[in-house]
Amino acid sequence: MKLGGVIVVGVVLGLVGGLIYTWFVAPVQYYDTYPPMLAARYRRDWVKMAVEDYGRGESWDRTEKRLVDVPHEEIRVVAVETLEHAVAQGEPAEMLTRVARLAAAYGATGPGVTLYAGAQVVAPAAPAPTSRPSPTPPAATPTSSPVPTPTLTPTPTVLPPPPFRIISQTLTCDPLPSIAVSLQLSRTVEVRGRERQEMIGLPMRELWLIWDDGADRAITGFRPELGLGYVDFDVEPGRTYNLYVDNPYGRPILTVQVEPCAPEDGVGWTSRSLVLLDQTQPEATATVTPTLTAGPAIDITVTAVSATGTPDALGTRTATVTVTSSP
Amino acid sequence: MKRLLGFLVGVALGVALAMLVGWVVFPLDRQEITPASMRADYRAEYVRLVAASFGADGDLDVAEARLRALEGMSFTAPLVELTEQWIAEGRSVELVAPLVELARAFNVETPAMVSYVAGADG
Repeated sequence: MKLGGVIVVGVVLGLVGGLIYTWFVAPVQYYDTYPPMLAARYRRDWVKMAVEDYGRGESWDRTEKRLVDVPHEEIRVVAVETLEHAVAQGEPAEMLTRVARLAAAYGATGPGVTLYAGAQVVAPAAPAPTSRPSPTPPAATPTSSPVPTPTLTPTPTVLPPPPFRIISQTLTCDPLPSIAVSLQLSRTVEVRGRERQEMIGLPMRELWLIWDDGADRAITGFRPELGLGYVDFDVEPGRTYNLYVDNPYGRPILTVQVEPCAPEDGVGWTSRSLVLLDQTQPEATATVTPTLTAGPAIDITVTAVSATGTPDALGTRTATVTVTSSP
Repeated sequence: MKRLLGFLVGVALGVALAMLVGWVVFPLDRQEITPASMRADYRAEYVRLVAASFGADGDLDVAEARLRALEGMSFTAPLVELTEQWIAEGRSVELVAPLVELARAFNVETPAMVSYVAGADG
């Protein structure tokens, strides 16, 4: 055997023996690692605990240090999952807001994050404002404008009507009563030149059920098989409930007491299935977009768009569009 | 003689290459770096998070699984060690109480914890 062949045999033997040693006899040992180096399942658990702890009130600085160097994509995924879980578990609104803001700070998007993060998605925990020297004499009264916070304290102002109204209510008799709600939006669609009304469910809206000494909250859209705007609550016999959409303030959409069924309906309690229609949709508008691919050009001008008449049962109005054309 | 020298050089090259591959480029247990390997301050933070999580959801099984990932002598050892250390250092109630609560949930109570609880109650 020539010298080159002997060297190659040596390299192969050394490589095989060396790999057996480094992989099986004395595999690499890690010490003094930190969370980003953990195996995926442990890293994910670390992020989950850190996100939840932030939701429960931990400081932003500490949370940021806990999550340093962890890929933002992983944080986004875990934060959104944590938010969805917290919503499903009925965690306090403050926790939902904090988790959503953390998710947004790491770049997460989506209806849930947008809904709960609100406007302050850039700074999850803004530092306390510091006073700055002013060239003007200090005022006797504070000049800062604090951010108004929602309060459950009733105010003497006239409350605006709820943004939703009940357009349908179905009563059934059940041993375990419930209140099911479907949030709907009515819109006009044009099919082959003929207008028709279409009802669509509204997902990711928050519904509140408030009673004397408690509250429950749910988000629409988590049971798409029952409609994007669907949500339901279990209720207890004898209690009186107030139903709200979006915020548990102001005039409730419905105040209802869970009562026994009528004798002819059987034995049990009255369950309700409500359909609520969004009343905040804007006035009817029309957009005309002619598409001509051949033939002589014509000008189409929309000269008038008006909404007339009183709202029908679905709260919609008829729009009259006047169109003139010149050849 | 020349061949023997060439063979030994080849073996040395092979071993060096194997060390580079086996320990640096493709370390075999790269996917199983557990919380036990973390630096001491991160391990303490991990235990703190486990206790905080237990305080919120009360899930003892999950807490046990997480503590086992620290690979202590017993799964409660890292918890007890940190709790006693923080009690000795006079850390705040907000930090120590969740640890004590978790330890007691595992039916672990050391003299230091008993004294701490008695002091907190008193």
